Amino acid sequence: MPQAIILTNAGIWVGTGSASADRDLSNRTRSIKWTDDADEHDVTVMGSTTRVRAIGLSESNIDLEVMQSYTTTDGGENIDSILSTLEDLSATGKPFLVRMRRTNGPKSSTNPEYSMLAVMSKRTIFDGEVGDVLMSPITFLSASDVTRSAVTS
Amino acid sequence: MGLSEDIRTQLIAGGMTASALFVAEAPEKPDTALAITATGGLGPTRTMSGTKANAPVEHVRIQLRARAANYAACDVLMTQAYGLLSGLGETVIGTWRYYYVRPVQTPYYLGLDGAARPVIAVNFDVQRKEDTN
Repeated sequence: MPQAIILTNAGIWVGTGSASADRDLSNRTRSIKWTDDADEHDVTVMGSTTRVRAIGLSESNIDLEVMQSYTTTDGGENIDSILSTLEDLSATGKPFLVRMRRTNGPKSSTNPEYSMLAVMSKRTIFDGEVGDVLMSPITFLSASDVTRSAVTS
Repeated sequence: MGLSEDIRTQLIAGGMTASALFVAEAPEKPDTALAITATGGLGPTRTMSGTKANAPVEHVRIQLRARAANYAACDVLMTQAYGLLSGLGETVIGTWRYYYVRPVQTPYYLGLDGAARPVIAVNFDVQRKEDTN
């Protein structure tokens, strides 16, 4: 029987520059959605017997649901501080590196790493009701191609 | 300690009489007694941590059942406990950090027990984390 993949331990890292992504957001992250979407152009011509499509420019979005934090003393990252830095970088045209793996373990053929340079266009600084867990929804937009690496690290 | 024991500790710290507070079930005597019972809560809120236990938020539930020789005394006992727990914010009790205690409803009359003593009950949703950070 085929095995299911139950997502319990995905790894998501961001950096404050284009060279490294070493800030581990995983243990504050509730959900990750990374989509890759390309423009479709209709290039059907006279004589075609079916519609013919060509793929144009693509873009990627990463939507994260992370638990807000203002400290690192509990073993996680200071989300508020990191997002503020990423927002400043984005506003000045400096993309940052984002990496993600299915599990937090090393890269491998069964645990490939996806990465890209990104900017942050949208951030919810505060959104909560009394008794709620304070969450911070984030969207990262692509500023480069998406790279897939399955080379064991 | 367990949830019920922690809540008992908190009620005692708030000034309630320790000898009237019981975990799980109250014995036949004394007449004035408050039973603190853990009941079925919801699952925890987990993140991509990949570790067992230690969820950032655990959603548990407790029930308080107050009884006394008459309704007025029973109401006083429940009102005191309800006032100490309803809306309780971040507090460390033992090895747990309690985030928030929210009543599921206001206290309600359950009827008489086997010794014809009035019983008033209330349930609380409790959010907590299994460490003190």
